[in-house]
Amino acid sequence: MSKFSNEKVEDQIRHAVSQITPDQANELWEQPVELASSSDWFLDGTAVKRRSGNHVLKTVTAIAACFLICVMSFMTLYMRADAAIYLDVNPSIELQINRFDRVVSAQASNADGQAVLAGMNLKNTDVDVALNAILGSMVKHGYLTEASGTILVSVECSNQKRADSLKLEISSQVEQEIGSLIHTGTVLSQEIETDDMLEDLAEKHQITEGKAALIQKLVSKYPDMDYEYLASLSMSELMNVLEQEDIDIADHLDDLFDEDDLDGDLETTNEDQDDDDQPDSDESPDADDDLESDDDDKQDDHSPNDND
Amino acid sequence: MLIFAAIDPGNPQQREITIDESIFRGIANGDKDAFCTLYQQTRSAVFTYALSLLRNQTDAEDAMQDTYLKIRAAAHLYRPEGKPMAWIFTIARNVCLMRMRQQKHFVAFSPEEAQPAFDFSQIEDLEDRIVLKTAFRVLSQEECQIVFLHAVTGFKHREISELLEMPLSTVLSKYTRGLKKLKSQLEGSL
Repeated sequence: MSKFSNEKVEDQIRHAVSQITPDQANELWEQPVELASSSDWFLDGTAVKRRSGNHVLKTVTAIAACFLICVMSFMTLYMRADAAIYLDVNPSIELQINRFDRVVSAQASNADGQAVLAGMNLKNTDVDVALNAILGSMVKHGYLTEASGTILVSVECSNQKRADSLKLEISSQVEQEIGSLIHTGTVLSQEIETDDMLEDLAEKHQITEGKAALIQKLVSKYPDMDYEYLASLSMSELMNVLEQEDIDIADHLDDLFDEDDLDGDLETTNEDQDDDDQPDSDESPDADDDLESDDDDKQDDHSPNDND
Repeated sequence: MLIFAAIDPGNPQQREITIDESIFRGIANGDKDAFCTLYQQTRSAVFTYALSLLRNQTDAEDAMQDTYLKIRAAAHLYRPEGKPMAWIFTIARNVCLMRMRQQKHFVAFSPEEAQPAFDFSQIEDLEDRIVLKTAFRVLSQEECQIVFLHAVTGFKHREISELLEMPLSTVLSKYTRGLKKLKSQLEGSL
């Protein structure tokens, strides 16, 4: 067991910082200051009191002059999807989101997905809210259970940095949501780049491009495996089949993906396994090509969710 | 009016203290006690934030000083919206960013490139000193902000997410990763 609990490390940081935190209230009060105006640079982003009189009129006029030009640009940006999120359990669902993380469209790839989305209007909702609703519906319809709780999260975005960030955020949220819903679960996450072939495979087998990409990688590595059969399985069933074949995605990840392959790096986040995370020496948490397990550390005294 | 919570830096129990928004009116009217009260309530949070952004003790001290002078200058403009810490943090961030631009610092840089300047001799306990040094060495800027704010101020992750304008899942993820990274390094050092 580590001798450093979260609480102990935080205590030490707090003790250290408290000893170097300045205490200069009196000195600061003695210094002369010039009254600020609301347009001062250091108030950018704050809510300030409106100025009265001509300043307001001029500001309103200037804003109105720019408004018509800006609104069309904004609407274009708002309605344009800049990333796709694919969710596969057995239901397969695709979310297109804009740069503001709002849902532009939500589509089911199969009948189970349609059942999950039935009655939902997710357009223009925040992606967090949409995921919450979708996962809740999957649990309600019995697609996500304690016995069958594996979900594949695939992210597609032309901007690599945004794709990395989205993958992490979405998979973290999904992990938390299914943890609270079914108290267990496995979240697989990957970044993909679709092409015509993947789209055709996805449509043919009624799965998302994300699952299509994963199965394509498996079949490329293990030609004896049948694509159609694997595509027909739920994610939990797929994981069981791989286990029976002694195929551990983690062990074979280096073989599945080229070092420079930015199209996919598969990560497993498993709430039920022991924490065996290795320290990251690189700045970016997604820079590793290898599969990593990132689990709740049950031995920690201080859970990130304790204070929420 | 109760709004937000800040932390008494000298209290190891991290007792929450509420900020009365009318304090800004007092500061604007020349009430020294109001300013000193706000300063004591928020100094640890502001310094921690500046330190995690600038990764330089002297710069962070200057930025903190500048922030409170700007608070005094702009107190009359504060509009009560129930988010006094967000207002203070926005000023602090703008001050730090301006300092970085003036010094041609970059906001995002890897721990390997960072050369933080600190006088750790002020920290009495050797282990505390090592923990702080290691944190600046191995944590990214965002991980530093999140872990430090959580440790020093006791802000909840949701509050940190609002202050830093980051999605909650990102804050949770970076917090978990940052602490694991830090603990792993400390295991080898201590």
